[in-house]
Amino acid sequence: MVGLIQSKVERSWLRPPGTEGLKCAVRVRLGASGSVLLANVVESSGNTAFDRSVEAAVRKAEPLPMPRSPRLQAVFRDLTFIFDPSS
Amino acid sequence: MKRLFFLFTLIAMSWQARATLTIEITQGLEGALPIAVVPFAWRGSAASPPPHAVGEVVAADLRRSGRFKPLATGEMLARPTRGDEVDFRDWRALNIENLVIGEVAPNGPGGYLVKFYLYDVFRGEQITGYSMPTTTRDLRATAHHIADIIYETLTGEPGAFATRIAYVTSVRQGQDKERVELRIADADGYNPQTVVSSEEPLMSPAWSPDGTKLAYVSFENAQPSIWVQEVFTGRREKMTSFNGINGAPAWSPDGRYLAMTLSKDGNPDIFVMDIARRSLRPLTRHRSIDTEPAWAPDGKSLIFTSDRGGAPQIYRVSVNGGDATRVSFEGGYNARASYSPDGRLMSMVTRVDGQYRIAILDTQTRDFRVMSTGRLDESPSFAPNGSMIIYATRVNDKGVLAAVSTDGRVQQRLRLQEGDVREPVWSPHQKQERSR
Repeated sequence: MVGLIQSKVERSWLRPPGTEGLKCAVRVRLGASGSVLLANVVESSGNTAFDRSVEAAVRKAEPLPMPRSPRLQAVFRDLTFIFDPSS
Repeated sequence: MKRLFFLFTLIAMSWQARATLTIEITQGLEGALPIAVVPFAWRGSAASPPPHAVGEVVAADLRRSGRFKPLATGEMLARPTRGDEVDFRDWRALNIENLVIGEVAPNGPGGYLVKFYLYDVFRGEQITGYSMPTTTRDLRATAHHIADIIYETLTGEPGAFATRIAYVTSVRQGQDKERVELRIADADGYNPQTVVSSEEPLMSPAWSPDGTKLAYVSFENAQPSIWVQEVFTGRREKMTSFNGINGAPAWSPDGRYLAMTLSKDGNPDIFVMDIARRSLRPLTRHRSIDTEPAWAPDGKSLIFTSDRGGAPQIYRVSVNGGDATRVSFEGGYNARASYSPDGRLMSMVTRVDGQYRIAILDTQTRDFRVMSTGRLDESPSFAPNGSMIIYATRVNDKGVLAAVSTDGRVQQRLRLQEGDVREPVWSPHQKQERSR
C-alpha cells in the first residue's frame, strides 16, 4: 500500500529545476476515499518553489490509494511525506 | 465562546506531535512550473482596445525566465476573466498548477485599471490579486510588474521583469555615415529610448547601482573619454580623458568608485577612481593587457580580463591591489566576466571551436557551462535577480539581443531592434509602486 501511494505521488511530482539538494516534510490528512483533506509543509526546505511543488504533488495525486479494511484506513489517513530527491 | 474553544482545541490537536506513517518520495520529474495565463478581458469599448495584450506580456515574461511553462491559449478548455467563472476542474484536467486571470478596464482619459488574480489550482484557492491603475504609456510596465508579483509569489525570489536594459546600437546613415546611440529599453526589448546619440563610437555602458546613472565611453572629438550621465535628466559629466585608452567603466556596489581601464602610463591597466574626489589609484600594474574590470557583489575584490598568461583569461584581485589569481581555466579564451548578484556564478565570453559563446562558471563547484549557441556572442549581463543572462548575438550579420535562463533551459531572442545592437547591460532593480 505504501508503495502504491509512493509511486502515485512520485508520478505527480514536478520538481523545480536546480533543487536537487533540498528536502522537506508534508503532513497529509486523507478522507476515507483517499481524498486529500489537508496537505501542509511542516518542515520547510527554505525554498518556496520546492515547498509549493510538493504540496501540489500530493494534491495532484488525489485520490490516493486506500486500504479496504477500516482499521488499516485509520493508519493511512494521517501521513507524513518526506520529499528528498538526493536520497 | 463555544466556537472559539472548539477552534482552539482543533489548533492544539493539529500541533500535537503524533506518530504518523512516513512515506519517502525521492523521484520526481524536473521541470518548469505549468501555469495558465488567460488572455485578459477588455471591459471598455471594442472600438478602442488597449495598445498591448497584458496577459500575453505576462506569459512571455514568465516563459523567458525558464521557471514557468505557460499553457498555449489554444489548449485552454475555458477562458475565465472573473473569479466566479473559474472552474478548477478545467485546469486540473490539464495538470496546470497555477492560474492567472485578469481584466483591463478604462479609467479616465488615457488611463486603465488592470486587475489580476492568481490561483492555486489544486488547492482551489486564490493566492493573491491586485488592482493596478496605469496609463497607456505604462501599460507594458504594469504587465511586467504583474509578472514580477507572480514570479515572487510562486518562487519566493524577486522577479526582474520590470527592469531595463541599456545597449549600444548603430544605424547606417547614407554611404559611410553611422549614427551610434546609447539606448534604454524594457527588459523584453520594448520601449527603446535614446539616451545619447553620436556620430562617433559609444561603448561599454554601465549602470550605477541605484539605476539612476550610466557610465559609458564616448569617442566624441576623436578622443575616448569616460562619461557619467543621469538617465532621467540627461545631465552628464566627463570623468576621464587621458591619452590612450579610457575604457570599460564599472561601478563599485556602493556607487562610490569606478573601476576602469586606462593606458595613460603606456600599457592598459585597471584603475579605481574615487568619484567624489576624482582621485585615481592603480589596481593592476602588469606589462600585459588588463581590462574589463567587474566588482564582486561584496565590493572586496574585482575580476578582470588579462592576457598575462599568453591568452585572455579571467583573474581576480583584491580591491586593495596585490597579486592577481587566475580564475578561469576552461578553454583558451575567456573574457568580459561579471558576477551573478549572489556572487556565486560568473558569466563570461568563452571560445569553443573558434566560436565565441556565453558561459557560466560556478565558483563553488568549478562547473563550467556553455550557455549560448552563436558564433560571436558577446557582453553577457545577469538580471538583478540572477535568473537570466542577456547578451548580444549575431543574426544575418547584425547584432541582436538574446536572453538565456541561468539554468540554460530557455533561450530567446528579444524583439528585433533597429540597427546593429551591441553591449547590452541589465539594470539593477527599480523601485516600483504596487497597490493591492
